[in-house]
Amino acid sequence: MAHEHVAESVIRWESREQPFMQILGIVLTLCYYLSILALLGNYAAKVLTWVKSKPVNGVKSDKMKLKTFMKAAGDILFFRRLLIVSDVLWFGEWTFHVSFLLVILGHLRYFLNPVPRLVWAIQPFGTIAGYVLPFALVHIFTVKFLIEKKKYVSSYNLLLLILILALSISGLLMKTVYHPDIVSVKTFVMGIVTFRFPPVPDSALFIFHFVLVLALIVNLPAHIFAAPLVLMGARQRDDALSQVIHEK
Amino acid sequence: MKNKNCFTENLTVQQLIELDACTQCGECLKFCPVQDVNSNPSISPPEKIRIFKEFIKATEGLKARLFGSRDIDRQLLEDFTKAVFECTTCGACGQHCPVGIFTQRLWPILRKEMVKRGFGPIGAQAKMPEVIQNTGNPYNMPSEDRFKPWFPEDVKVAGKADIAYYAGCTGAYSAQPMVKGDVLVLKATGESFTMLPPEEEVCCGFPLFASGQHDMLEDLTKRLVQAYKAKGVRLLLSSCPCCVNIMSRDWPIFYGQELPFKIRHMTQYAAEALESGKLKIRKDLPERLIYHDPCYLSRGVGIIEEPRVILRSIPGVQLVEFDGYGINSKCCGAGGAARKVYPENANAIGRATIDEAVKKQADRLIFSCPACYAQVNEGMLNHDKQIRVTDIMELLSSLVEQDEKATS
Repeated sequence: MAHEHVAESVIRWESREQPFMQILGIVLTLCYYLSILALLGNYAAKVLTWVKSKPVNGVKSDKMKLKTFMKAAGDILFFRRLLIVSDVLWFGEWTFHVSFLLVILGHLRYFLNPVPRLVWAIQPFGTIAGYVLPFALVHIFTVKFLIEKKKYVSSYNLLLLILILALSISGLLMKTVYHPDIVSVKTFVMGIVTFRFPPVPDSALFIFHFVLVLALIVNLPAHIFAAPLVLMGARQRDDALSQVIHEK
Repeated sequence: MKNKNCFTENLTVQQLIELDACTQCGECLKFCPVQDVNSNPSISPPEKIRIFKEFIKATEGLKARLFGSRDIDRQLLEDFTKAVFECTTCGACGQHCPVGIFTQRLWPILRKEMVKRGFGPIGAQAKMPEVIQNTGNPYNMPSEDRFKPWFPEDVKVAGKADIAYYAGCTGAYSAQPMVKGDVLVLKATGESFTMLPPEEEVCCGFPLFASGQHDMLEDLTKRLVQAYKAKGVRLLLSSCPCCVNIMSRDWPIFYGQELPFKIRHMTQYAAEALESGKLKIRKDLPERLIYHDPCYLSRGVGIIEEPRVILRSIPGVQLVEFDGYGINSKCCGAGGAARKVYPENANAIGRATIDEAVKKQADRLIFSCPACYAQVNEGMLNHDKQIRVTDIMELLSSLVEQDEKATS
């Protein structure tokens, strides 16, 4: 069992002194705050640009009908437009987005104390989603690069794909093989959200996972928020197309 | 203009959100007609959006706001301008976009931004405002030749009427069988209709809008709207999808209020006239027809069924469809005022339309757009596949009973 011992000592930094973990905790906490600031700052810059953008003069914007709203909600929740364009890619993308959402909701247990019942109720789904997530990402990768062999490949999308794949694999490894001390993980995360600069848990895998989270926060794609808004507008436009010169 | 200045002045908030909504998935490339013929991903829709977002980031992003905007490389701006002007603005990318970006409206606005900075328009497009100012049309043709070569002598035009007919520049100068068919169909309905004199029927503004040159649009719109208003017009008809598109979507904006008349495409009017019995088809046509939906008619204003109503009402006609039809139609190559600037693309796209029509064993290829009609005819020159091309109103006018009351 020598190899298990070696692996365990790599993953758990048992020999590390507490002050080192304390300093690393401070550094990672500061990095977390900085990444959140960068994210919010980028969005604030976007909102400022939106606010001073050109108004649409002379055209009354129609209020969205309930039926249109419901259809738009369906478009957003089920990625209908992607399904029409590519059912194979849709399967991977929809599975990825749903499982990723469930994993994030499952992680709320680390940020809340006491943990609400709803968050506890989500845990089994979050666990299942944690196993599904890497497969969904591999599916997307296979469809895009091996099956469809797309001629347009976004390096940013590729970065996100690799980042989330690494996140999901490191998360799964912590769930199944190299369990970090769950109490120190919770203490660390609660410390971050309560501005107490706690020591980082002594697990290299956890630190790797956390650094990936920071990278994801900084690189969080704006389409997460913008796409649902545009999908709503697209549905409204589709429903109104027959009225452009038929009813006026 | 300095390249440090903001790039978002002409964009609405919806369009800014659309730029952020692009997931860079690249699905739209499968539907882009320009990609079909030149396969250059650097001019693809997601790449154009990515580069334009980089311009915004460099001038209005967080870093630019904190430490000042940085100058953008001139070569990058020039490359972007070429990419955005090579597009046919057919809107197929937006129609198939998984998040539904309205690209048919977005690309002309990005062009406008590049025109403002002095990078666009490209080639002959640059002379268009001056040419329209001098002749009233973008083809630099004399206004006295606008109607004379094709207008049937036996058709009477009223001084004032509820209905007005707008021939449009492309129809009048490049697709004369279409405009002649329009007035013959109008005559056949027995309805009185009016037209502006040739020197007053100026460009609707669409080629200027599509090429990002918006300075004259308000003036052109007001001139035309006021002229039709003075003739007591309640319904304005045109066969040109681009004219109909800008009239219904943008004229109210440039005019500053709702228009005093309705806008209709000729196929709408003819389909209603056939249904009401005002038009009667007197001949059979035992042919296999294939109808091409113009992008600015189908995706632009939702006219999909009416042309088919007309064609199905002709006894003997067998109607076949393109693989991409209706709202999913494919561009003919003429769109986006890019036809004369990138003729290789335009002809190759036009020939793809011909090839598919021939493959489907159609006897005739039917259009309801003067630009499609002119482009596909041009694409047919020196092409190995040939098909008879007919405008839908040209066809209908040859099959209907003429109303003798409307003859002068």
